[in-house]
Order: sequence, then structure tokens, then C-alpha cells
Amino acid sequence: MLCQMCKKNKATVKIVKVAGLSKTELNVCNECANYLLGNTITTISFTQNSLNEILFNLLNTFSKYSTEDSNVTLESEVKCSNCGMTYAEFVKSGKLGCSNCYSVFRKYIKPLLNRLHGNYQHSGKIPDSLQLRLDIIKKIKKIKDELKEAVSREEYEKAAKLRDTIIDEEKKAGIRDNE
Amino acid sequence: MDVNIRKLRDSTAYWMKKDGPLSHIIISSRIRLARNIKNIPFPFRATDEQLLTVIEKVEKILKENKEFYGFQIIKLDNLSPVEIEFLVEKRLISFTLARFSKPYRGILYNTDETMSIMINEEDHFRLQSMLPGFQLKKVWEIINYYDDKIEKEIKYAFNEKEGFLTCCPTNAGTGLRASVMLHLPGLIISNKISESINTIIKQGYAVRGFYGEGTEFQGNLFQISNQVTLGLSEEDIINRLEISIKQLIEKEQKAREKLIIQAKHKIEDQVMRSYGILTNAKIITTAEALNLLSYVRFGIEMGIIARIGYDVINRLMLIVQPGYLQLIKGQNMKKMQRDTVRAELIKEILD
Repeated sequence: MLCQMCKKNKATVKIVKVAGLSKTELNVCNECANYLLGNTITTISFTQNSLNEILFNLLNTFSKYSTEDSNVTLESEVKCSNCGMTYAEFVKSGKLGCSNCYSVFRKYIKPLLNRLHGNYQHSGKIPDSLQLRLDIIKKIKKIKDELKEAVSREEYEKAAKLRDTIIDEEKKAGIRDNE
Repeated sequence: MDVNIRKLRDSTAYWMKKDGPLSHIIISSRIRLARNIKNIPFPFRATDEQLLTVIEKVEKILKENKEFYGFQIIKLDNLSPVEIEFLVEKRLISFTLARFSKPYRGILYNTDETMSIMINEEDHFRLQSMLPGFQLKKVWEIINYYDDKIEKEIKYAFNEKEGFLTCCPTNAGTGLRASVMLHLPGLIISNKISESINTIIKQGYAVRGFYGEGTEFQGNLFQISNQVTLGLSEEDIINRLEISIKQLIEKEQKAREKLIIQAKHKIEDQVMRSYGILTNAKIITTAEALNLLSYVRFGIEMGIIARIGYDVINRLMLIVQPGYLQLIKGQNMKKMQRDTVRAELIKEILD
């Protein structure tokens, strides 16, 4: 939008003037905003797109592509088996229905989050319960390597012990069901 | 009136009554965490029974954990529209929670309102912690502590790739939004605000008004928060935001120093006029009150007014709002009546 004052520059600032009960809005460029604001007490707001708006726009562009290309029209029918959320609903609302939706719609979410956050790998806090599990998985991987080595050296007694340890650890992590 | 609402009406939040680091520019620091329970659909897709389960889990945690001693729970289903509006104005709940049309919405909070949890908002839980002044790290310590406690009782929806899974994928990862409320009259008066705010926006931060998302800027107050939630650790998000905020604080500080040299009388005049209107007006709107209060606050910050503390201004900033005002008077009031009652109340408190 062009500045409503000078009609030259791009409007970047929205000025909302509240006088008594009436309210007027004006979209102007930075320079005109500075001129206008002067010493008067006003409320101002800046043009900015929230992440949700960006997401919304991206999703809509995506869905346009998919309707133009007949091969991908089926995508709108992709559905989460857990909560029933469809791709079409996701595009419309920008919201996911449940945690399972993340695996169902990962293909579409991944490029979006990559663009929004510049990244697609969580590197923050991990729940304690899960951290424990991750640690055990790491430990198991290490023992498995030792096991391989023991077998290659034909140290079968040691290998058997390592195998038992792996089974125990896997039970602890909930990877192996108790038979 | 709900008994807990009555208590909240008469009590003052810690962030309002105590000064914090850099209180002369920063009003408050706040962090919220979005969390969901594993295997229960997000609130807008959950059945009423599932939403009930969510709130029951919170009640169980409240009962069984000594860390939550002194916390209260309010269920929004039992409240009047004015009481809900009041909770929004007190910054305990969001517009989203206030407007959400499903049952079993709730708010869990401690008495000094440093820690609260919205239940069945966009996500099952929205943890929130708030302190006065500039101290995001301390806020993070508090909220992280309670997050850990809850996580011991509840399995969160989480995976290694997308972190904490949230209803809106833009919040995934840490689910963390840190925000700081700044009072920037110096930059406004010296016409440098657009430039300063645009720099912040270019750095990838969101800028909002006093009431949060989708609201106008009133009272020279700006709320600045992070948008990136995935790929950075909580500490990194906080550190980066702090760096940008520090630059903004410096700009405001410089603008104020310049103003006091170049336009001392003009500033004093503006401050005292604002005080004069606030203590003499017979009719006053919320917007006008907030703007005038901003200049009185500026007067305190600049050492022009000495006998009023930030706590008084903070309290006024909240109670001039329509919902709070009606709760104090204990009756529903039309706009004209509110404007009259507001003027009386401000005069009474400032005199």
C-alpha cells in the first residue's frame, strides 16, 4: 500500500488517532508518520506479519499448487487416522488436531517450519522421562558394537553376557516387550 | 461473585507491586510454554470428556504435589462475561482462552501471580510466569521448575524432531514465547520510535501493544517477543531476545538524556499537565487514561514526580480497564458511566 499522505513511499506505519469517541486510521510511510506524530498523543501500530499469517499465506499457496496439478489433488484427502484432521482443514486453520497429525502431515509441515524457523531440529529441553530413554538407547548401541567385536574375536562367553545386558536394557527402555 | 475472583480483584500481582531490574524502562518480563498431553487431541478437536480429563489431571496434580501448595484453580464455565474480561485485563488469561467456546477451560495460579497455567486454551496447557522489570532468566528458572514438576505427573506430547508438539505448528520445538513489556516515551517524543521498532521487527521479533496480539499501542507501551521456537535452546532464545532488548533500552536511555537537556521544561510541562488532567477530569476514557498515566510514569522515571511509585501507576493501568472497573464497582456499567467512575477512581487513588 502507498503512503496516504505523500503517495510516494510504501506505507509502513498505521496511525490510529483517537479523539473522544471517534477513531480514524491512516496508513503512512515512516517520514510522514514522524511528521504527523509530532507532539500529539497518539497510538501507533506497525505493519508486521505474525508467524501465523505467514504460515497461513504459505499454506494457501501450497494448496493452490496442489489444486492446479491434478496429480496432487489427492493430498487434500490425506487424513489423520487418530483425530480425523484432513489436509484441507489444516490448510484452512493452520492448526493441527493432535500429536499424531505431526507424522501424518510432516511432509507439508517440514518445509513450512524450515522457512519460519530456519531449522527443523528441536534443540531445547527434552522431557526427563524421554531423556532417560534416549540415554539407554545410546548405551544399547554401544554394547551392540562391543558385542559385534566380541563375536568377531570369537569370545562367545563375553558375547552371551553382552546379549543379556542388551535385553535387560531394552526392557528398561520399553523397546522390548516382556515375553 | 466468585470468591477467587474477589480475592484477585483485591490483591496485587508481584510484577505490579515490586520494582525489578531496570523498572524505569521495563515494566515486566514474561515467558509462556505451550504443552500438550500425549494421546489427547488438542483442545479444539477434543471431545468434552477429553477436555474434562485434562482439567481433572491438573486438579490431581494440584492436590498431590506440595510444590503447588497455595495455587488456586478457577473454572471459566462458572464465570460471568465481566469476570472473564477482568482475567484478561489482569493478564492472567488470553483472549483465546476467554473466547474459546468449549467447556472445561481453567486457570491455575499462585497468589502473587508469578506463575499460572491456562487449561484447555489452544494447547492443553499454557504455562506462564511473570516478574517485574528485566529478568527473563529468573522467569525461565521459575517456569522451568514447574514444567519439570508437571512433566513428572503427565506424559507430554513430544518427539525428538519437532520437540514439544503444539496445536499451531509455529509454536513447536520449545513452545516458548518470551516477552518483555517496555515503556518508551523517550523514543516516541523524539520521533525515533518507528525506526527503533522496525529494527526489532527486522531482527525477527514480534511487537505488540499492552493487551497483546492484535491490539493497538497505548500508553507508550510495547511488548516484544520471540517468534522462533524451533532449532534454538530455551537459553539461546532468551539470550538473543535480551541482546535486542538491551539495544532498545540504550536507545530509550539516550533519547531521555537528550530530552532532559534539550526540552526539560517541555517534558516537565507534559508530565504535570497529564497529572493535572488525571486528578481533575470528570470524564475519562481508558485510552486517554492510559496515555496520561504513561506521562506520569515518565515523570517518575525522570525524577520529576517523587511521591508516587511505579506500583501505583501499574495498579491504575490495570483498574482503568472496563472489566476491572465494573468488578470494583460491583455492577455492570454503560460506557458513559464507566468514564465518569474511572475519573473518580483515578482522582481518589492519586490524591
